[in-house]
Amino acid sequence: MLKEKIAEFLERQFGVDKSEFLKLDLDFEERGKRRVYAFKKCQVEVPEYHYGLYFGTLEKNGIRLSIEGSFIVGKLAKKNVIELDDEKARRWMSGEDLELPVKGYVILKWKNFFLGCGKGNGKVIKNYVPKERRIQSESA
Amino acid sequence: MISESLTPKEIKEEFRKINPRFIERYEEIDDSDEFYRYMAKPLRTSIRVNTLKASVEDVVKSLSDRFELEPIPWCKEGFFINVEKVGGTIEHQLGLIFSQEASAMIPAVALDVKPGMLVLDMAAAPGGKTTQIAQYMQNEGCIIANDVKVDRLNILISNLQRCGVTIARVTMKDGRFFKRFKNTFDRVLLDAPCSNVGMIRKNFKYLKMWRLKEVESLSRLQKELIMAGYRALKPEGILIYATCTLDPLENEEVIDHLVMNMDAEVVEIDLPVKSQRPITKFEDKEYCREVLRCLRIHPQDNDTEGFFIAKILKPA
Repeated sequence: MLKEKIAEFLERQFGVDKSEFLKLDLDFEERGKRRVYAFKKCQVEVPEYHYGLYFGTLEKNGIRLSIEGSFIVGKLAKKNVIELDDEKARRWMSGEDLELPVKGYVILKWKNFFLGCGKGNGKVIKNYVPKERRIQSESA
Repeated sequence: MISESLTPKEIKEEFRKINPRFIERYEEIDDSDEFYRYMAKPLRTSIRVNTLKASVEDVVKSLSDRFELEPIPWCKEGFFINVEKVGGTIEHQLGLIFSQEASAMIPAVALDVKPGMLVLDMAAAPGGKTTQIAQYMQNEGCIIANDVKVDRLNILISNLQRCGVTIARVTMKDGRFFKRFKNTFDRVLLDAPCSNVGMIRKNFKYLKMWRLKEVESLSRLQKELIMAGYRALKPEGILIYATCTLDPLENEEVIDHLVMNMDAEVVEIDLPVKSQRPITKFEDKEYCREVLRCLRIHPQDNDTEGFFIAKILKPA
């Protein structure tokens, strides 16, 4: 089952307790390009144009969470959560890679907020903030 | 834009140069100096904190490093803010705040939703009120978020994503489609397509575009939409009808039409917001006394966009 597969990845990547994640009142669906969407059941049937929140993308070795995926998972994560200061948070949200000696999937955190998921190669955390969610580097 | 240094009479004449028929019409609705003074004044920027992602306290603390915030009296998540472009802030891009006009926050507050409810948002795009409803529902329950045009729906979908909403089902239907869902929804929001006069402060294109024929056509559509929405509402459910325009044909007349044809009750909206007396007589028509319980907000009342909100209860 997809939810269990995701739970296993999240346990491995971020130390998320599997049973806590499985207890979340969320269903998951995989769509094109291995993108996973999260949603809740609805009491009524309607002809849908769209439903579901983009949660993350399945990759060979794990799941790369979207910004919204990191908000859902972040509070359950017990490891690989990197806290950023203001300057690094702004650089991350403007689409820059971050020079940090980290390997594997990480959740980025700023104050009490989650900024999505990056992938470290030991020297640099690669940025996946989509273009439409970026700020200008000089922005407020 | 029209210069704020002009007198109200001069502003009115500038408006007349842009659209003389508009002035002919609005002389019958609000001809006060204050109306014209505020119609030419730029709007105050405002935001709503998205509590699906963060607490009001945390977000206010984060924004207060860089901006001045002033609470909006009728919405505890709402603030006036001195920023030029809300969309350029890190808080906006993270989905912690939503750029929303202050009076536009009223309908979702008045709707009084609770977690677990089934809600129909008949004209949901671009999603300011939909995402506000979702946060009041704490992402529990279901919102049918409907709109009629695909390009508007795509903006709605991206706003639902950015705000982290998991309970929305987006549909692309004419709002009248929902009359087949008899007595189904706990709450219905009809933020109706309208002549947008209340938004002239935001963009003068709405003044240029205004046509009386369009107002009459919209009034017919709004009546059909509110009837469909009311049919879809459960007994003891609440329907909120809202527009961002000031013409009685699109406001009091639509509520009068509903009340005269159905068993609908109009309920007072108890919020700390100043308003005008609703219009009970216009041209050769008289509207039922129930319309006096609606909220008619002119730009000068609270220094916002113009708005009209009616709260309708379906009896048991």
